[in-house]
Amino acid sequence: MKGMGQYIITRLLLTPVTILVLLTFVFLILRVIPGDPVEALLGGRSVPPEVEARHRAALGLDKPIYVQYWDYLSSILHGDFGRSLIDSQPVTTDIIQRFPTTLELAIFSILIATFFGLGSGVIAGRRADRLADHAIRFFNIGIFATPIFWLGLMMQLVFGVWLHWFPVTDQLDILHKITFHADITGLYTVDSLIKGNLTIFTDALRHLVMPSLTLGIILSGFLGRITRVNLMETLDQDYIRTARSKGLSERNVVYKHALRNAFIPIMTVLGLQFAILLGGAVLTESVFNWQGLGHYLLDAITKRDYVAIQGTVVFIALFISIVNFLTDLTYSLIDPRVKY
Amino acid sequence: MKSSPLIELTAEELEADLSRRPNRHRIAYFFNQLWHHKLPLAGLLLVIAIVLVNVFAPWLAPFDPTTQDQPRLSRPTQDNLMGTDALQRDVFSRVLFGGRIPLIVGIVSVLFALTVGVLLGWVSGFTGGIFDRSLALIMDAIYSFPGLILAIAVSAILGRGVLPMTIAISVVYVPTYFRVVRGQVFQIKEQEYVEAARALGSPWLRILLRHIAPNTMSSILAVAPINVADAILTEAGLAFLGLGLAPPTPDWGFDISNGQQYLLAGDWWLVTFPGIMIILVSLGFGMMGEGLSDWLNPKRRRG
Repeated sequence: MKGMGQYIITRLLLTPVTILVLLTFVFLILRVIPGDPVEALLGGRSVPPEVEARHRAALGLDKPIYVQYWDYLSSILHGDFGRSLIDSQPVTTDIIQRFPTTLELAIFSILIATFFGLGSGVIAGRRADRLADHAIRFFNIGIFATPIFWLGLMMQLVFGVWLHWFPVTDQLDILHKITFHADITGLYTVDSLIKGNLTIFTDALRHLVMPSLTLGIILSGFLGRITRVNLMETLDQDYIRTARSKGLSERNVVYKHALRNAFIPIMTVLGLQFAILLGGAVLTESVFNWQGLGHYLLDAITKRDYVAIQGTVVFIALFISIVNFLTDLTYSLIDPRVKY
Repeated sequence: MKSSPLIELTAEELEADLSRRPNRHRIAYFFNQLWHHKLPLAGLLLVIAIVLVNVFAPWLAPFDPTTQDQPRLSRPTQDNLMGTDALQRDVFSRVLFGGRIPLIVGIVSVLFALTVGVLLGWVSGFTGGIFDRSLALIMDAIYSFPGLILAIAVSAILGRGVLPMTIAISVVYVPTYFRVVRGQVFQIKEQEYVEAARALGSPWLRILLRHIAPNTMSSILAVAPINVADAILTEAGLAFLGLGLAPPTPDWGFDISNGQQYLLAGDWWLVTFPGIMIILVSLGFGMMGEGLSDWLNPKRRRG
């Protein structure tokens, strides 16, 4: 019987392999697919060959492909994602500066998604095939079909333009943004609390409502489906019948016996959830004009800054791999039966 | 926006049941279930309706979608059912034409991903060994990466246009088919009838194509419509971010992006109507897929 320790070691060994595969994939996409970064950078302008050669050398593109690959891997290993082609800033610095914005959006979206997803999933799973179940199922299919950016725009229209309940764009009011600097964690909500500035905290929360609701609702559809199916399957189990027949209250059966076990398979898909979350964050940031990682990526694409594009994609790849590893780990810690 | 939760939950359990059920009754059974489950039928009708609208758009549209001869930013009126945009074009006409690119990109990219993913899955699952394991590792890595960001990165390199967009989106879905098919090939190749074919000296290609491949098709059938819905949403996302198309192409996602700047002034019609169309078409494909996977998976079939 292989033990817990061995499982963790296997995962630990496999994570760098996955990361290497992703890094190679990014490298191949950016280098091998037709379309020359330098030509793209020059945008069709004709320049003297020596200028073009200088650009090429600056990107290291004059070296053989395997040398480029090696340079690429070793600099990433040193945490160096290169310098932006536009303003020569280190991409790593830019990413570290932008990431808290995306993280803040992600954290609040996950909270909302968990609340709605687990809630609706439990209601639907308990009342399989009854009206509430059908309503929630239909709602979830509707969410699945809704473009996230459209949901965000509709929220802006209804709660921003028509009702004036919440600010439409940005993370803080412009005046607050000038005076307040989130220089501890980079998260406005956390930093304002640490500094004891409640005005900023409320303002940050008000700006967070619509973006995180948009992203959270989209994610909750997925979570709701999984919760529903797993709860339904768990409620069919023998030990649930036993629990019921020994006279436990329905609440006790559902929440103490069933939901805890149903939660285990739900955990496994949380990693996948994170991938959807980051994709959705790009669109949400674009709609609400948040200066996060997604915004940075789109900016880099518009400016044809290949080093910045590569850096962002690599960062996301690393982040996803680490999240997946942690999910696996938590999963095996939660469920004592998991032995690999 | 890679979310195929519907499939995620069912794929493993599919084959065990399908191999038990006799082939001949399957079609009758399908239609029986189709009537009992109105959801996929409604989805199919919805998809057909939207496809027809886009095919016959030149005859249905009251105005040319690119000619700028309407009032500027007019609210919906009797003449302009969905209002007009800032470039004096009729929104209703643009909405009728605007599904052509999403539908083509969505369907073609999934067909492309399906072909590549299924072929790789068959070969990989059948051969096994180090080749299979390396390929699975690569596919898993791509699968774990955010689909939309992958599509953004690829289309940033390939540039604008329908073909680049189709390729960028199809890259996202190859691992989905690979995973589903490979898993099934693993199960099927251990079955007795495959063993028997092997014992009788059938060549491996024949075993793969005659005995294994056909039994993997049903689950692919369930995955495909949901992926088309997802691919259409990804296309809309790319177009919205300005990565897909060049003006003045009518396209739902692209038109929403162009209408965004007028939303804050209260001009709601530019964004609302194309968005409803995107929802309807992905709802249609989603409901089709939902019904198909219900039908294919007895555990989830109810009533």
